Amino acid sequence: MSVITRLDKIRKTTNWVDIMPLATLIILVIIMSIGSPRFLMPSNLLGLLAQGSTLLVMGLGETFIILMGSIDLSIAPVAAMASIVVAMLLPGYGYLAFFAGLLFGVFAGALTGTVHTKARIPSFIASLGAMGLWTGVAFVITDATPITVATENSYLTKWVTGSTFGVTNVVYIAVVVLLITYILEKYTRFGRYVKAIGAGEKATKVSGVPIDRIKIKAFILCATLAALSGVLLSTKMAGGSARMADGFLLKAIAVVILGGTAISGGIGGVLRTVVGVLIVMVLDVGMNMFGVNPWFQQAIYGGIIILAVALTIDRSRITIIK
Amino acid sequence: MASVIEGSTQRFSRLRRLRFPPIVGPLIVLIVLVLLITIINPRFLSPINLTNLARQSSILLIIALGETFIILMGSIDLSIEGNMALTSVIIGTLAANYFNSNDLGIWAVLLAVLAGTTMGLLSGIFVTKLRIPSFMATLGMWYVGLGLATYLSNGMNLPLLDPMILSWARGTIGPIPTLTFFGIAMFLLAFFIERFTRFGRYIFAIGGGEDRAKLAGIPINKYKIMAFTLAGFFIGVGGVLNSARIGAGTATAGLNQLFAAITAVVVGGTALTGGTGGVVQTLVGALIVIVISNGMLLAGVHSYAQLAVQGVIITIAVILTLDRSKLPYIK
Repeated sequence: MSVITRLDKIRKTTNWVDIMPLATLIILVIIMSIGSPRFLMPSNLLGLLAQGSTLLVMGLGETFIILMGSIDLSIAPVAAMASIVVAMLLPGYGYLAFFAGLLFGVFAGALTGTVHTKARIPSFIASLGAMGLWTGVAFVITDATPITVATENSYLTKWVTGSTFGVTNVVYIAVVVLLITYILEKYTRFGRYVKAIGAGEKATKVSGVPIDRIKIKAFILCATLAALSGVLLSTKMAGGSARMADGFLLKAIAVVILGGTAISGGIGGVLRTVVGVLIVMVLDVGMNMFGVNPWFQQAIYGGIIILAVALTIDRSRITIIK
Repeated sequence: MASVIEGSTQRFSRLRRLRFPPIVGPLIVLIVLVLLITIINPRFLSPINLTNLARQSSILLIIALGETFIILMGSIDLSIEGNMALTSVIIGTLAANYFNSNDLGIWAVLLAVLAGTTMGLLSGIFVTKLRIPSFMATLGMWYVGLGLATYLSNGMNLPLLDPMILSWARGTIGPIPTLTFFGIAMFLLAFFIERFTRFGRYIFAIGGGEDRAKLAGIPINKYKIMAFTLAGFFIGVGGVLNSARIGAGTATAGLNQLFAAITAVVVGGTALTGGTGGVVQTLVGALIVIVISNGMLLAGVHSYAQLAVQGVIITIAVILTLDRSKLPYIK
């Protein structure tokens, strides 16, 4: 208990959540560059960025949900469904398939958000229900076998897989999404309301903010970005499958929390998620370099999430911890 | 102090007895389902299918009983699949199997269940000592268990050879599957704990109102850790029995069990907000879940569709049972 109280004090008196993630990132990078001088080479860093782009897109959406103090557990199957929609429609409908994938995200987000706000059930259970629903649907429509997109259609995916000025296009896409979400967070009413809901839902409601509408919009944004990351995955893997985004849920939540967005809501933002993604990418490379078994890495991420939540959560705002 | 605790727990148990009738709703659902499915497909009530039902529902019941104690407190345990994966791989490597020469027999079972119990203990410690929400702590533990299990088993199935362990899932005693006796024994244990121990009463008190329970002098953290540990024990037993049913230790032993278990608890009528419900409700809930999935199989529905259906059922059941007066804001 005393450790927790002391930790809470440190977190309150310093800019803990500002300093910690950046400090962690810098320390990790220093350790990595000492361990392997090749680590800081531009080609290696660019490769890292390309790998992190898909995760960043998914994490940016989840950031808005966690900023409100809610959670969306359905992002991985939503991404998988989007990859399936793209893989099924791409041969027949060309570029329209990508829009259909995104449109599925809009629909899934609207569904989760509406069930959460209108039926008044916690977001973790509404999105858990959605997770089961979309996983089941994904397995049924693909008959549990991956759908591959024939190579003659590969020109359609060049906008993601091709490269411009030596950098894979997926990096530019992630940067554009980052810019849009940054503007949404900092310069729109929506962004301010999302933070206000997370900081104090009661006060926000009393001041006349239409809470439910903002929440539904946030869930639509999150699921649409999850669907976009599914679209990006489908181009990279040249197909779609129900297992496409396995393991992404844990990492997407990890990047948000490691970046310093507190699970209790109100504190954080999309730029911190960028730091979170960089931490996860460096950790990934480091663990691979030191030969850590990939399955064991999953166990480590489970532990990291627990630790990161414990370090960033604002306990004064949650009177009873369930 | 003691009288205050007694007073508060007595009030809770009185409340519980008053609220006992809600079991009627889920029971009616169960009966209607059985009637409907029988009309559609009379084979549903055939002895072979009934034996199947008894077998299938036992493992789900055991896991769901563990989850019941957690949900009764208003918490949640999402680590079921990780816990079952780990216990399954441990039993697959330590009991007689095709891959190594280990043959620890009953000790392998005990060690596997101990591992599951430890997973629960750790979740409990993280929730209470680090003071983080249970859904985050157990989400982390889910992947810790799953990752460790896949790592230890190298992602492979470890076929079991131990005749005793295999007979638990495949044998019968008279016409009744052995598994059913495990289910009944674990149910009686859970029922005893819920109704006749201080622990059981305190779990209801914590779920009914944690602040009041704390004021009444209940050592909340101690009982929360005990509850998570107990849940880990039940889920560990479920993991061992499911490995016996599959016939192998595997990291996928828990696949889709989280959903089925939470659905069983909530459909039975135990509210996610805590304080109302219990293991009898979970028995009815587990039967409802198994009857639905069995009915869907008989009707020829794709087996993967069950996950989608359960996702919808969980949501509807929570909408119907949640006590919203207990949640100032719904996050």
